[in-house]
Amino acid sequence: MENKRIAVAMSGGVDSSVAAYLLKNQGLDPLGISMQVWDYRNNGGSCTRATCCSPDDFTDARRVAGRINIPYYVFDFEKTFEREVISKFVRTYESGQTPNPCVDCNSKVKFLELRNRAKALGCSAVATGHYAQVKHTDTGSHLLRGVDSDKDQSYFLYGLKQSELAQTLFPVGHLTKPEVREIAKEAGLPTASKPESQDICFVSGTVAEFMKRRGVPARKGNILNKRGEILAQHDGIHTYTVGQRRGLGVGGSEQPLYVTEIDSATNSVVVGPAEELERDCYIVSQVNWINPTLSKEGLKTGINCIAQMRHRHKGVPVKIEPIDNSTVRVIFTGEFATVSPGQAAVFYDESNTEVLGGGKIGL
Amino acid sequence: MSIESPINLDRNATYGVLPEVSETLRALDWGYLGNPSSIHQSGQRARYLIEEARGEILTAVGAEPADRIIFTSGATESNNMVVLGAALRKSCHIVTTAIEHPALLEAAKEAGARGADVTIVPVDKTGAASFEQLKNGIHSRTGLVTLMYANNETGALQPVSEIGEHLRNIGSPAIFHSDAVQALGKSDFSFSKLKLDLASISAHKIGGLPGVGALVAKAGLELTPLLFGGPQEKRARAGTENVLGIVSFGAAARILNRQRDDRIQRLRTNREIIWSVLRDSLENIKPTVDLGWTLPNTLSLFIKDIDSADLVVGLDLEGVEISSGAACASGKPGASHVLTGMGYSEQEARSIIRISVGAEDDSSRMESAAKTIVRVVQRMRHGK
Repeated sequence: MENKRIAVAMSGGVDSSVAAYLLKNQGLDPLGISMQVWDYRNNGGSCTRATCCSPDDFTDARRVAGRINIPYYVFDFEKTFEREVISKFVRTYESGQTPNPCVDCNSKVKFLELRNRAKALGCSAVATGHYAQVKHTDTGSHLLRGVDSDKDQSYFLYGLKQSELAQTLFPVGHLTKPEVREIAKEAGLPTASKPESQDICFVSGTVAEFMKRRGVPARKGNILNKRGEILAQHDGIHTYTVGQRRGLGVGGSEQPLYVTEIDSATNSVVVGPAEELERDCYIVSQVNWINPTLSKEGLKTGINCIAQMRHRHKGVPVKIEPIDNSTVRVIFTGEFATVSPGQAAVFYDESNTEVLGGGKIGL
Repeated sequence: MSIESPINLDRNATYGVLPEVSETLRALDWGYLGNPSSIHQSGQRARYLIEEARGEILTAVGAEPADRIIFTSGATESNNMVVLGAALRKSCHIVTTAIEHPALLEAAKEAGARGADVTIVPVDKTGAASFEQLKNGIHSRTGLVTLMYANNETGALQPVSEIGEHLRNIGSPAIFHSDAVQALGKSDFSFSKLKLDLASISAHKIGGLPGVGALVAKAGLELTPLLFGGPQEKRARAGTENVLGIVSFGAAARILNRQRDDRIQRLRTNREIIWSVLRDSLENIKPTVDLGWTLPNTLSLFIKDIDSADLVVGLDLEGVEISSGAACASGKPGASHVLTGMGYSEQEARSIIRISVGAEDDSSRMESAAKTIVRVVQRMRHGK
């Protein structure tokens, strides 16, 4: 690589710390960038808990950058983040669906705006601490699952374009989490034993509290069964996800009950036994095909692949049939799996290792 | 980092410790320096160093021998001492301007919260507080008038001399203070000639270490301490003196006392080299304030279609250090209160950078820095 300058998105966590460290050790010229995406002070966000991208996390990232002697900057992405991630998050919950803000953050913020800023600074690529792998070949760039199946984050990255993926590096994708921590420890990085951030970075407390602050207060409504019989009351639809079983507050049923539908128009949550969740197929819209070698013919006639419908879901065999340019029908060909509208469905090749594409689940 | 010796065009943020100052500090035998309040000879040595520094600083600010230099932890503390001290007096009216440094402005807001009556005079598009508006803000019960000598972001000179004259003409009992942090070493600032009662200064802006400053006070003026404890600084500021910092402050002041006019001339020349290259090579670039009415080293520029935060980073990677407004404002995004106060929209303010040169650099370094700025600006504009 002629231009050795690489922008590393540093969240202040151990993964991106090690990513920067490894690039530096490879003789590249990394520079750390943290994205100020959210004003924690003015939004009741958490500063006491390790999340990511909070002022405390920037302090950690700055210390790591100092430790490995690379330049480090914080850029303001608040406006883009508000527009592309947060307002979409709120709208999705309002409509009774379950949003996936990490997907939007990756495709619209990290690998689009951050990449543009990095380019303007003369960087040849953007690197992150994602547990995913990218293989650059003559035919294009391939997105693969991370080696650590427990941590794999390729699911959140399907929204990248080929041109973006071509200038992307995942320096820890070939490692397991314990290996990453070990490297951080040996290198004396101050983030070596920092706890994981699991939650949505901009939501401290509950989603309901967050929505209330955003001017969408929870409205009480009915929990019904398929026949329209009222079984209980709920405190607001945006605390529910289709497929959810726990915490419904509905008793007296012999079988376990699941959320089968959320109707924002009537502000109601429909529940039923597991079989009412089952369906033969579902619709995925806003599809992005990331794989460079998929044939147009194949996409027209339909392809067999593995679909993953949630983070940490192992994936089930499906057949994909096109409806139009960006919408497909996904048909279960083996085992059924729950689908939650608003979440991402990501398609992997039949060996379940390479991302072909993905989109947003509708019904 | 690949660049060995970056060119510092951000001297208003911190000047950088002057080589002579470093040498002075290194030459001291720190093992034999005691507490300056101690009676024994180790204590005496420390006391001697502090008093020598005090003398140099008194000369550097153009104060009379009977005037006082009270060492503080920096100009922030000095400003707080002035403003919060005034607020403690009954029915105090404070007049200041909207473009003061946060160290003054936030203290004034706190004074307001503690019961003082605070008048904040706006600035106009020249970058200076209007003399007329300041005049109108001052009345018979005004207890403190505080006006910075020159603004840190734009370099714009403020009507300190005129306001002082006005206060004398109307026989105002108000205490007259100036935040002279940027003035020292870059102007002919004179505490006596301006007939000030108080002035705030800072060591690291003139080539000393950060963490030490002073409040200059007219002889006989009663001061209200901010900190209580030992009897140091004639009971005006408790706490064992920062000997290291004070020695660095004195050493930097000594350099100014020997070379001030020559240094000011070099600042002016260095700024002119940069401005002439930028003016001749770039379209749509203009100073935010009249360069004839600014500190000689400061160049605040509006560069159309450029995001100043990106430019600061882009230049840093090329070994040229500038800022997008004040050092404190740059960490957190949000337009500078100085620039918006001058009538720039938030959007426009994002296209404004601050270049502040030093006297040590030779012309070839200035030319090289200017060419780098031109190249990076053109790359950023081209990239759009």
